Amino acid sequence: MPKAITIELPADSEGLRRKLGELSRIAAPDNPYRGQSESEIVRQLVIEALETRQRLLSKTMAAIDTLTEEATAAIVAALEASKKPVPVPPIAPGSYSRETLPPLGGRAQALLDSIWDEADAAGGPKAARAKRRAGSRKPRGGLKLTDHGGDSVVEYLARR
Amino acid sequence: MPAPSGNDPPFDLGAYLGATEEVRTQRFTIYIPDRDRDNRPVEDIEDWIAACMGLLTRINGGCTRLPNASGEWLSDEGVTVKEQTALIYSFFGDASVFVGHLGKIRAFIRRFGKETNQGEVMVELFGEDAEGLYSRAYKIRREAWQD
Repeated sequence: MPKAITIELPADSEGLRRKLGELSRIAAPDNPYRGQSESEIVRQLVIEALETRQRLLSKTMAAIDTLTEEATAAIVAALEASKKPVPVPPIAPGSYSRETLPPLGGRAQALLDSIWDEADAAGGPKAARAKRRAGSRKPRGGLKLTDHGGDSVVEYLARR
Repeated sequence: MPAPSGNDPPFDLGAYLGATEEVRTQRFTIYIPDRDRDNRPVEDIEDWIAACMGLLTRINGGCTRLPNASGEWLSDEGVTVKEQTALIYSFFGDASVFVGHLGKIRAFIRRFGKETNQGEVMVELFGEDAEGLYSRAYKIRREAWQD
């Protein structure tokens, strides 16, 4: 491929003809215009200009394509990130419920829910203790769980 | 880390394993047999087991069911009843949470005992509190759920 030559072309027709003549006469072996007619040199210059323009255009389009791909990837990533579930804070011990747990299969769910509701309606150890006191029954001794200050487990579970 | 209680192991297992938390736990276990007091099979035993596991999970956040254990006992009539028993246990760290839901456990034991015609239902409590270790088994006899 011949070495690139930068040519300053005069704006006036006389100067242009003179310059084309000079180009034709440059004896360097790598001069692509050597011995060419004026019209042939002009044709070659026009073709080269068009090719240069095409190369620049191709580079620009490739750069635009790259930018477009990067922008598209960023948008897709942002959309995917927006779909991720918001982290749910852990449930405090003792706060699990039928709303926070998956349902059980078969009859088990109905069984558990009815037992749960029945116990809620009856009240816990405090309610049982109050009921017992109302009936003036004396509590018996037994193992005490710490921190609740109530009945022993054996008393509570076994009491009618 | 809990304060030393005199019941601490003689080596620091937590530090060796890289544990970030160490709490005193208590373990509650329920025995769910597949036979009634008359040696008849409990037809819907798996529903009761699932309900029991759901109950302990709701209360303590989780539970474990051990593989069925073979057991036998003498009935009031002197008959040896052989049964397969599911052991379901659950750990809890905060006794006040567990005790706050004790009514549900009592209701479960009564419903299970009554509806599956049990002679008694057995539960266990094992663990450590500020005063030391304890281990108890409780037999809740059928009189508890007979109206």
